[in-house]
Amino acid sequence: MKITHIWLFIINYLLFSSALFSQKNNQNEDSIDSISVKNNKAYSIRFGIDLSKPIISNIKKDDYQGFELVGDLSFIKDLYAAVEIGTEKRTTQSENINFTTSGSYLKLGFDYNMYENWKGMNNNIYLGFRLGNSFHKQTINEYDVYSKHHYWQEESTRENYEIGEKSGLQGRWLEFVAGIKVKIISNFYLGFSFRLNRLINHISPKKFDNLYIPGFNKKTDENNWGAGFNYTITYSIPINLSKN
Amino acid sequence: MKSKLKKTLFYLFFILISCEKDDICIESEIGTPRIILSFYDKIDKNLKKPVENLLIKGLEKEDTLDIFSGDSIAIPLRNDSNFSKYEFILNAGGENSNNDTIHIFYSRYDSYINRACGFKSNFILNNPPTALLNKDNAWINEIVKLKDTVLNEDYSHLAIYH
Repeated sequence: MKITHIWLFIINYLLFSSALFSQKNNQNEDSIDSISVKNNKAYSIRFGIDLSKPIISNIKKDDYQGFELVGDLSFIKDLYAAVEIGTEKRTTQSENINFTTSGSYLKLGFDYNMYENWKGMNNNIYLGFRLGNSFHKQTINEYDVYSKHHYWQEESTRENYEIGEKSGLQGRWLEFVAGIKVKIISNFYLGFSFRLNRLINHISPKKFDNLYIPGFNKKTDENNWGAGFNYTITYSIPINLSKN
Repeated sequence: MKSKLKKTLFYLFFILISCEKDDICIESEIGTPRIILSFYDKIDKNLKKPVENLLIKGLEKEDTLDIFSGDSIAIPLRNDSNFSKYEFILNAGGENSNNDTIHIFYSRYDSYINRACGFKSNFILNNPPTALLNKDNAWINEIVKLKDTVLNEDYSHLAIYH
């Protein structure tokens, strides 16, 4: 509980202070920019990590471990090629099944910035999409057989052919992204994005199902939609392609 | 800019948490099926013969499963073992009470239903499916298998002649 509060404090501090920082920077850069307006085309490579995954790993301890690298590259004005690579290991207790999913994923796509920046700034409010693919395995740790009649008060099932690891699983999905990226201090950006995922296809264990897909998130029955978010800190390397 | 950011984050947060769907196993899913026993006359074997005040309880269990009158009953099989032991006590508590102990033997396999309900057990009855432990003074004359597998509760699986 205490650790949750500490993290909440850090998140809030970063979020709201970032909003303040970004305003201060506006004024500074605006005055600088008046000298070199012509040449300043903001091509850049940004890379960094998703902060939410180590935070959740820290809170949930053994039940979750995750890490995600993020990057984007602006190549036409306001259009960014974006990538996310990550790994996740998560233990879930659903109503009757306790299972662990672990694996890695890759997401590739584009972001389109809709926020009009001051000259030299590179803040984003963007919409985008990704194609995601996971490679994972799923282990059933134990389950309670579903029965409406509990006369015998049976124990959970921990040993039979259903228990154990099923590997070689995959998920493929399309992800719709909405997010923001804000400069906090020189070349460092904080970002938050919300994602709506639509599963395209998946390789599930025989006579069972994918209940969680790394990168996609929880998969529910008869519903191909999932949701997720990330909270990133990225470092930007500016590239000036057009000096003349 | 600052207030716009805050507002956006605020809304995003609520969209995010409202997307979490509850996983509840619906009531219409029968799950692990019970075995259905039907009572027949031991002489005219096609004639259903109801029992009256039959007390059914698990062997070595304190609580009663049911006190039953009728010609068919569904009873749960253990899903953590390959046999279930039941006592069938006719006229329980009365002067002419008669206690028969039955073992039901089977093998199990579990099949996946869905995320919310998880797995259910199915049973394949052995050959012969039952053993009557008390040979003397049994009110049950014979038990015959009607179905090899217990996959649902739509049919009788065992016929009990008495």
